[in-house]
Amino acid sequence: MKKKYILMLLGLIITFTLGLVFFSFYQTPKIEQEIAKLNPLPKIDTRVKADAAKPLRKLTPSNPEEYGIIVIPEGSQPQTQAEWDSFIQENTQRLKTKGTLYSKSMSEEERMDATEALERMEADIRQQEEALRKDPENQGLKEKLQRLMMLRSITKASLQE
Amino acid sequence: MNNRGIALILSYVVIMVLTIFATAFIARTVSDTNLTARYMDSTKAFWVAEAGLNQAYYNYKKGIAQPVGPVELNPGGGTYTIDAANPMAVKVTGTFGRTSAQRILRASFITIPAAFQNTLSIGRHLRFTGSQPTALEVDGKTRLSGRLIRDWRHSQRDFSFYLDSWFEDYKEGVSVSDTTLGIPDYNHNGRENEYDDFVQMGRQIVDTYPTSEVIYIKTNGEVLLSDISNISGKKIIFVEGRRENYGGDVTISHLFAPALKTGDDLTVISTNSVTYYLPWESLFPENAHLNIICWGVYRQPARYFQINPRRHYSELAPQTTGKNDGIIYTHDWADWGLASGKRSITGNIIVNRDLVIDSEECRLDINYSDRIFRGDIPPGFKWLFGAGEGPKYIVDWQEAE
Repeated sequence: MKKKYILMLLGLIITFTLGLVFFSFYQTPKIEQEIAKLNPLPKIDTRVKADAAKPLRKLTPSNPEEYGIIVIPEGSQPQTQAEWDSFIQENTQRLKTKGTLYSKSMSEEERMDATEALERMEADIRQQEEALRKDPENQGLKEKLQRLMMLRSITKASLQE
Repeated sequence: MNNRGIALILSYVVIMVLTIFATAFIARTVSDTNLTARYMDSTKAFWVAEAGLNQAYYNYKKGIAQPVGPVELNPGGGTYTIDAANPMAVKVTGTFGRTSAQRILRASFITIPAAFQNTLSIGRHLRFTGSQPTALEVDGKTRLSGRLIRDWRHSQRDFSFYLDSWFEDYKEGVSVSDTTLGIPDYNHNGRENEYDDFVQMGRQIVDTYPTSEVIYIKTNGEVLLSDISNISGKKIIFVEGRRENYGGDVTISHLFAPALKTGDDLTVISTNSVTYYLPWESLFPENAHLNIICWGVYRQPARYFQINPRRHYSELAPQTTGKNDGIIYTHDWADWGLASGKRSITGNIIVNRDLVIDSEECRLDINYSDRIFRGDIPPGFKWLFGAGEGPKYIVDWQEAE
């Protein structure tokens, strides 16, 4: 009889201990989850920031063509309107083939405005050329004329799409 | 033979099993306790670091020297260490508890220069040239270190009658420290405002952002940003020339705008000049920003793509105000060409030298953007803030990994 009680007591102790161990294994992750939920840490911007004391990472230049960016190398800048037209046309075509050129079809209104803008540019180009003939050494006028010719070519190319 | 010894054997077995379970339980409990202690210490170390960062920011604002070595937090416990040698990259380490848990916070302390308080900030003169007067309407502050010069090409005619420019708050002869921005000594040679400082600044800005957010072009030629693609989400386009006045010029054509998407905030940085053909406003996406930082001349020939009143684009103007809420800074002078039309832009324009407006009977409205003072600093601009007087802010605070 005595033996029976001892065995029963042992059985109870084992059951209780096992229960406690399993409860602990089962409950701990839940407690951790609750802690994480209650965790008041704010949302933090994880963007990497520069530290002036730290050396720069090796800066690798991007490939402009991946973004449809045209680079006009020093010394090979077009000089005449025909050269600009052909330069822009060639680059546009090449980038289009690569699929990196953004293309948006113009609305009828935008097309009309672009046409008008083109006419104004042409008038201005004539005016600038005239001014340059009178003052051929004027570097500012030369640069302005170059930019105008570039813009005309870009606008013209966009109208041809 | 009988089974009287079974109770003893059974007891040994049970005691062994119990010992194994008890050991596992104790090990688990000790591990949990340690884990919890580490977690608690780590959390407290975070708050200690934050307390340290607050103290460092307070010291920065009040001009108090930052403490050297660990500072004990009392009451509360824990220690923090402030490393604020470079205000742009402040690091505060919080340590707490018997596990000596450490958390590190980083932030930038910035002083927003006075120039950003102005809509138009000009280091020298505001010159009106051209054949016809301009109706310039500037909301907010206009500050010039020089003066306003009307230099119409047809000077025999008195255009003062036609000129109906309006400045909400206009002052000339203001100190250059309130109208211009210098380039801090980023190449550490003891001299500010050098071309090399600008180049170094550009490289550091590029280094600040993940490569996926940056386009970095090094060229001895000119870069044309026209119908470009794949740039939505980019923060920086940095075009670096080979040396001063040699390469790195950027032209942004009117066809560039559609490449941006709503919410984009892009800064184009050039070590030379930038020419920006403002697009028709209808092309500019809602709430997108295009900012410009350049060492050389900034040109904005808006002549060809202004609002065309005949097409009733002017009706679009009220809706589009606030678009292109961009900040423009040139270390050199700026040249705006405007003609026969109406244009409305919003932003801050900071020109270290003259702003020349070459116009032919047009109207230009410039509205002030307070985005910097709202803590919404465009990509790359905090590098221009440097030291000096002005409102002080803490930005980009984050936990170091």
